[in-house]
Amino acid sequence: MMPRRPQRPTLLLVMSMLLLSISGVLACGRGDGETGFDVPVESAGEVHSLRLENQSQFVIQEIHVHADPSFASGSSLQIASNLEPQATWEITSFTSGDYITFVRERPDGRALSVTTAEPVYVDAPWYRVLMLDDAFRVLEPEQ
Amino acid sequence: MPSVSWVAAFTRLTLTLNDTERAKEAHLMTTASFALMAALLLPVQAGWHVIDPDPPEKWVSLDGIAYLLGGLEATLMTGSARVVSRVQEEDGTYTTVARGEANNRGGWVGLYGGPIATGWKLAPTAGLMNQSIGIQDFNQDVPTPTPPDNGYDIAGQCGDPMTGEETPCDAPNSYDLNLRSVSGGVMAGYDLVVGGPNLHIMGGIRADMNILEYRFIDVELANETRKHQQLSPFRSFGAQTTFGFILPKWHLAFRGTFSFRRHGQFSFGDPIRVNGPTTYDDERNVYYRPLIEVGHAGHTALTAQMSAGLLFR
Repeated sequence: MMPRRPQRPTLLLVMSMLLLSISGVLACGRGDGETGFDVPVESAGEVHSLRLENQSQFVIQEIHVHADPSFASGSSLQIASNLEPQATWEITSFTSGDYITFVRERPDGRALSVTTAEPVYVDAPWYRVLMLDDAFRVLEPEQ
Repeated sequence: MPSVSWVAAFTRLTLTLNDTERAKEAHLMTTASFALMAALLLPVQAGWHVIDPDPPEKWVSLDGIAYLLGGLEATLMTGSARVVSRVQEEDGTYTTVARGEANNRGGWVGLYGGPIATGWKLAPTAGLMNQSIGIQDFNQDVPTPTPPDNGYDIAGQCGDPMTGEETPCDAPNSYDLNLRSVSGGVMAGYDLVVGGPNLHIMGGIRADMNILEYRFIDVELANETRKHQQLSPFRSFGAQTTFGFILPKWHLAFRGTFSFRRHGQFSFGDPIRVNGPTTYDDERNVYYRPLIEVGHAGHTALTAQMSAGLLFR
């Protein structure tokens, strides 16, 4: 009697269905801090206008845009006067993939710089960048 | 046998040593007992008694004033001090929003506050207080909200813009406070003074309150110093226990004191700003720590003090 061979096509079909279902769950799942928004990373290098909004509790003294993670090396100063809370500032040519830094005063009088931990990607004009106390939120342009 | 004689010799030596130890112990105990008896009997033999001088015949006289004021005294103190700022919540409870602790080292010049005579004592007090202390608010977790569907969040990296050095975004806000006050008040307590014509041993326990206090408060920010002055009636009190001795012929007193002192509501003048408890802003979908303005702080000090005084009477 011939030994019974495993039915490979069936096994492969089951495994691929299992993999598909797992990947589907992973694709649909959204944990805390994750976003369903696709960050337009492919837009790196494109130049667009940008609207910055001071949504922090502090007066912003400086805003810098820079290609390197550290704003100390070769940053472009965007404002030299104070930007009050709720005020906005427009940058006409922002290169997608650059970093943004703002400088504000701490309550005890010391200065503090806050830099985006990752590059800012925008693929259309007039994205909104909200500057919070010590974080940023990038929003699609309003329709 | 040699071995037996060696053991016998060793035993004799051990016994002798033990006897010597016992004798030494007995001698020590005897000496200590004699010393204790002498210490107890000497004051009696020397005519020591409870010191309770008569009060002045006329209070409105030089003698009366000297009796009331007691003398002048300089004090060096060391210990710990704590400054706390609280805010009142909407439900009426108080929340501590900033706190500072520091070594309390300073000095005090004022009227003699130690015991002079046995009995209850009610006397005026006056003096200066100087305290430098740092105060800061607290670290608190600020959760990351769920990002909106039409955008994405980017965390911030904080730093010192002058040096480029990275610093934590939630580093506490800190202020240096310099608290000084000139005060006058009243103290009450019970004193025990015993001794002879050349030496008085004293001890006492008392409480005091500053009836009037003029306070100077300096708050140091990174690039400015705010100065504020205030008149504060009935805003500080203390309790202390003290031990020491007096050389009556020299009009000198030396004492050590353990003191607790509370200064309520040192006002900052212009309020200082600190980070409040983490709050969720539903409209903006962000967690943040709203800035709170704090107008005053309470100061508590626990100190050990050494004083030298010149007595008027």
